[in-house]
Amino acid sequence: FGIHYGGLGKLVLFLDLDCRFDVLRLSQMLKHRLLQANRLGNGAWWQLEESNVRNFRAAHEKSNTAFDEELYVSCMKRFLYVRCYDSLELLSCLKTLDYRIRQQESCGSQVGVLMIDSIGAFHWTDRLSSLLALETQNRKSLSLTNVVETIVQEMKKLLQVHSLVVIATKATIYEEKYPTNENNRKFSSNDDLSGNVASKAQQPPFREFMPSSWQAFVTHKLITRKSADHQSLQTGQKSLSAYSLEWLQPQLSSIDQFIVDDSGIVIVS
Amino acid sequence: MIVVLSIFHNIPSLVGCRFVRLENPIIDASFRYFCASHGIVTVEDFLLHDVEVLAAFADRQTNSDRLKEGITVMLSLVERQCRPWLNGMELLEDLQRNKQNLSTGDRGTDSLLKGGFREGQVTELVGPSSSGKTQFCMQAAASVAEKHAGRVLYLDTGNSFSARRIAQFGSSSDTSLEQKVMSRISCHTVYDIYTMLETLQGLDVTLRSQVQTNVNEHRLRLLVVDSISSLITPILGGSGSQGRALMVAVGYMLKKLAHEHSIAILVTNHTVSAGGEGGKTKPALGETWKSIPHVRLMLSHDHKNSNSTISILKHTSMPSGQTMRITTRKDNR
Repeated sequence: FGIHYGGLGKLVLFLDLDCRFDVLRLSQMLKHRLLQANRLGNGAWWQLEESNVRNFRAAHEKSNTAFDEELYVSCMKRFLYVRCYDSLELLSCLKTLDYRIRQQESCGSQVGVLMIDSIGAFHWTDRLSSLLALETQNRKSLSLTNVVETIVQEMKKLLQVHSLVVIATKATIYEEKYPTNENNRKFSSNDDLSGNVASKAQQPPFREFMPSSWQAFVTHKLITRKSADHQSLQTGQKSLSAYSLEWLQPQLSSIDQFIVDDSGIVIVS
Repeated sequence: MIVVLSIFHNIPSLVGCRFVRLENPIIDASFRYFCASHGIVTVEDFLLHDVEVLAAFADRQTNSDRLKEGITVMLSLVERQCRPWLNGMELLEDLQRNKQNLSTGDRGTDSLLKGGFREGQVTELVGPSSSGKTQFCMQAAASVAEKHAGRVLYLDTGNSFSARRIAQFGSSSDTSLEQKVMSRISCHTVYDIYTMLETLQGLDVTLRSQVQTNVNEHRLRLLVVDSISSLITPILGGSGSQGRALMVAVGYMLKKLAHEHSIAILVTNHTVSAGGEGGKTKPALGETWKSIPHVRLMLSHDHKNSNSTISILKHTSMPSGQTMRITTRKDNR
């Protein structure tokens, strides 16, 4: 018997380009999820991954309302974080990422996902660089196109040798009628990609500002928007903001609604 | 064109040309020549190139081994310049040890924010004119100087700073203590964004070079910019990227200062019409600015009944939408 926590036990590499990441929130969410798992009780023990199995005695010793401190710490340690304040720092980081991933692998840890928050953070700065760049023969200028091309290049190389998922967030930077946020996903070549040939001729609900090299690199796209406020009947709280989640790539017709509570995202419909 | 060049001059770090001295025997003349023949003269050029492709070219040369060693040295140089990766526990430790919560001076706001301003974060206060933003800023300055024994740097863009008013926010009647508290607050007037950037860069240099003798005694804990929107709005005109790039440069400078020197930063912004029906308003400075502050608060003042409410527009670890009524202290004690 044990408690099924789910999860993969892999490392998360988080590139914070927005420089707004709050570890307190991550810690909160993780604690809530561990508590939830504890409360929901024992799962079918034969389905559990070895790394997530806590033996029966240990689980029983702790009270229902506590969570496993040791597990919490080991999970927090799997979250690796670095900040970049500009594109050059980002490029330096990407260039040395392969080496760092290999270092982690030699210690036995696998990297599961690389996250970038958010990919459009240096857009205006890089566009200004494009304006000011001196086009000398032979040398590549520090323009937006060149920077993004190099980012895509480095990530493609990483995906060729490591089995991981890349998730990037992208915020809107132009005034839109409906404020939106996007999430782009790329799968490594090891994953099964279903080729989606048919695409509906629909106008994108936002203004695309990333260069074509990035757009071609993206294989999956999600868009989140704020929708009408949602009354949470279970907790009796006053209305929580509700958001809609729509798959743009591959395009699905259904739109999910979710709210954000203490333990994170909860799909409501 | 002149405007563009002056932007370039004032923010050298924006279009970074960091030349690093390479005192390594492997980075010799022949290596530099090889790199130059592929358009690589600076470290930045190296970052924009595919290392594997370069190594393939190096293979074709007679001194290929040495050249490839040079490439490895360059990569390790790039690696050394990178910040170290921190794990979740280390991030939490830094937070708990170095980044404290500072009281805003108003109990209602403190309870709304579960403590107050957090060191390391940029908090934006949005409100229409005469909603009490400056009062809020001065109250915060007084609170940090007194309750947290911290220094405050107050950047005033509209000549609204009042030492007399700040003194009134103090809670003690002991004049010598009051003087000590007041001496911890320094006010500078800033009229344009270029002066602002220079001031911030100068501050960064000063803070880096300060010898940490007594870590917590009178270190800079709060930076106030009242109002940041009055500096940024004049340069945001049109669809060009220059104004927005400058705005982002200021934003990142603030975020960097806040995080690396464990300072709480408070900036004020005004409101503009949100279009549509109902006379709704929204924060100024547009879409791109939204990603800059960690916490966005909206201050509204009802002139009819002299009630002020503050609400959370956005917070990194709390849901938005919560509001709290705050007390507005009258002018005389």
